[in-house]
Amino acid sequence: MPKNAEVCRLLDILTLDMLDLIQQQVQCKVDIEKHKNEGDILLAKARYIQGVSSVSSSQLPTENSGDFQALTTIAHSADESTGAEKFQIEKHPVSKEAGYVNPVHWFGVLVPRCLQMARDMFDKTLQLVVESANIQNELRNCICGILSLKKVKYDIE
Amino acid sequence: MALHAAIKGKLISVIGDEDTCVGFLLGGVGEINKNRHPNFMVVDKNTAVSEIEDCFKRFLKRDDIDIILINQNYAELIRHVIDAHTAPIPAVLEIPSKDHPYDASKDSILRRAKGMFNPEDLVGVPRG
Repeated sequence: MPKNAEVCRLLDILTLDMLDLIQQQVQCKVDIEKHKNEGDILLAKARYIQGVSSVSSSQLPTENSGDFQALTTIAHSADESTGAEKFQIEKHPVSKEAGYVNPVHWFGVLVPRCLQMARDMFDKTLQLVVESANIQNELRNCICGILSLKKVKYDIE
Repeated sequence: MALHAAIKGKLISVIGDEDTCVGFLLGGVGEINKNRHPNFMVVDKNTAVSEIEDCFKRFLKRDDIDIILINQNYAELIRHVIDAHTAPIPAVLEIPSKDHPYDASKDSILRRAKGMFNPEDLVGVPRG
């Protein structure tokens, strides 16, 4: 049976890890907010150039449109140090035959530069989103670890 | 085709306001599958809370979705459903929207982490 001191030491380590992960997660969300706001401004500029209704949800495909595949998907990989699963962004090239369509074309053929810049900005935001999802999963594992160690500690006491 | 389906990555789904959905779909996350089910939902002022909740539960049940992005102000409306989801996949990420900046004190996972700091546990053993 593990000694109480050893369990407390592990709890300390996990608690410090958790604090570090909380800080990373908050920083990541702040970065997401910054990038998303810049993307929103670029979308607003595109609306100013193209017209209000030309860059709106009415241009997005609906259930009645044909089916198509996502250009950005998520792949799983095992983290070398911890062995935990990690998300990774996967990009697919545009190919009409395979069902990968260019989303920019929903908003017209000759779109303003701002719209392309907005796409790049949201692309960067997506990378931060995946980073944040990985931190969140680490944080979840950390919380589970702390809870199970606390149970062991109370059992010893 | 079966091989293609086997190696195909998982999706990021979005529940958000118009700008959030337009932006992330521009980034290439949008998909409408063979059953005509989209992986996104545009929420506006006329959308009922029950519709957001139903859509969120539908996304949770789909095995081709790994990450669900939801604007934090809409996450607040269905907080009980989000708090009840404890599985790592799909990961539910609360993101800020244009009108509602990110508030860490409302984030589900951060509130769970904060709950770990039980005042009774912080009371140390008296020294000396």
